[in-house]
Amino acid sequence: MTELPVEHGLLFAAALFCIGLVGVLIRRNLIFILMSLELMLNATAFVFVLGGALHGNADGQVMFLMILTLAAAEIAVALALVVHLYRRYRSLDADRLEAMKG
Amino acid sequence: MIGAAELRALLPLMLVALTAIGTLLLAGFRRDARLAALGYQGGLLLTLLTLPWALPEQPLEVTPLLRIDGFFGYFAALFVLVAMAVGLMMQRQVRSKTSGERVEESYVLLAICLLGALVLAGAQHFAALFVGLELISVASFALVAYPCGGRPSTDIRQRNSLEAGLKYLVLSSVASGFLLFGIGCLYLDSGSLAFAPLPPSTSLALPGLALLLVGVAFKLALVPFHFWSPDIYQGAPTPVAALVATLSKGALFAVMLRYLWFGALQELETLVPAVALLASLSMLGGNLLALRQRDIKRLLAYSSIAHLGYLLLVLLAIGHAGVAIEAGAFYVLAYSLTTLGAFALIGCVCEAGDEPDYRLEAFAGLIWRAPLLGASLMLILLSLAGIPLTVGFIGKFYIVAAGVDAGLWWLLAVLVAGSAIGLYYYLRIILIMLAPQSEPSGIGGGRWLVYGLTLLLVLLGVYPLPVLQWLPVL
Repeated sequence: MTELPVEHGLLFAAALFCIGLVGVLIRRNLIFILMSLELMLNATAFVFVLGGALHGNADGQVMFLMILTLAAAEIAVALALVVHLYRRYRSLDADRLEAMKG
Repeated sequence: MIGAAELRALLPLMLVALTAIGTLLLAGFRRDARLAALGYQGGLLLTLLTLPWALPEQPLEVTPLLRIDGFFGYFAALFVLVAMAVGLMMQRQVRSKTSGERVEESYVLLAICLLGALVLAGAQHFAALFVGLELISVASFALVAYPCGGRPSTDIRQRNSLEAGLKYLVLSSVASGFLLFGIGCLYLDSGSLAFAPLPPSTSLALPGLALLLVGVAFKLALVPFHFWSPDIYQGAPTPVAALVATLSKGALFAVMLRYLWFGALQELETLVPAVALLASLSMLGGNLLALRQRDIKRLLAYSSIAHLGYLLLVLLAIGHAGVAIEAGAFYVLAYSLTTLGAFALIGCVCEAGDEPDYRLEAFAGLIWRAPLLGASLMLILLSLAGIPLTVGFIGKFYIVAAGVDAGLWWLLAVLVAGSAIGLYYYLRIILIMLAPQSEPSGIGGGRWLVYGLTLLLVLLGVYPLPVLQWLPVL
């Protein structure tokens, strides 16, 4: 079995991360923003898996599990807030959230 | 291996975790805000009282994750006190507004935040850093969006707090993403997550540290990553804004101190220009942007950006000046104490009426309406500006001493310039306060907390010796 070069994995993770970041920046629908956030977190999780495979220790996989846990916890809170927000504004458009400025 | 000694050292963490669970169960069985507050404060008081007993004489490594030592002890005591003060503010907010909102859970979330801060204070491993940071973050998302004291569905304040909560969640998660990617690069490089010097001749260390720096700068709201913070301060309930300003930032700063001390000192050398740029931009930008604020909470947000800029100077001095750690530790204390006082006072003055009024004009004639509160406000502002006889002065003095030791002359010049600009808008509030009274308006409850914090602020400014003895030396 041929070894996959680390650079490829890292480039993949960086590309995924950037797609997520751009998504957060340009998407206007809150649900899609949250999905892009997930993408970013998964990209970072991939880096840890990569590191774990490269160095042959379990730290990376433990971190991967914790990042998954964080993503779940975060999305739970986020969806609760989105539901509240939708009740109030009847819209999921992030541009509507601009009551505060200055 | 965890034995009796390790369990004893972990006692503060376990007590705070038990407080969170206990408060949750209390709230589950009996919906009584006072009971929940009592459970919360009782648990925290117990933690504080047993802390000296729990601290080991020698630094003790509890698993590779945590290191319990004097550094942990100092910051743990500080964070527990901060959390108790925020709890008191929360309680007052409930009492003054009989709105039927449920607030028992907020104490649970506060306890979880504190637990995260304690983990950060003891972290010596990136996994602990990650867990602690996210404990704070996820709990504070919910707290920022908390409909504290507002009338449901109609109140503009609740809309603001929801908006603030979601903004905080998205931006903080992006920051976590950067931070994690940076940690991932460092791990890919060294194969270890412990805080330790990186092996030489590596290509990923620099990008990793740079990404880490971006994540930290986001979370500490340093210019140019500061855009979220004024909105959060304005929208969040006042006690929660105080929590975000003091506990989250202080804990992250503490863990960065330890990380730099243990590990990445020589790697930091390549990043010094970037950190120096962040520091000077924050010092100048924070103070300049605060000049044109008409809203006291937004003004405090920008002022806190500037204060974090001053603190960054400590991070730069850490390898060169012996007093750097002490300076950072003391400044976090001074900043937390003063900011808590300011937010307690806002809760007391601005939220007295039916509609909260956060304009600076809300303070007009305060010194004639309530002389003691006016004097407190004056002392708090002077401490923020760093005038002698207040704790803010001692903190700034320490930072300047560390900067001089490390020879950071340019940054010290920026610090002086920033402080001079800062003095202008702090004095402007004092002028507004001294103006003849325009219209009579009430004063809310909770003034004893303000008096207490102000007294502490002056006492430590005049006689800081008791705290100086406790300052950690790594």
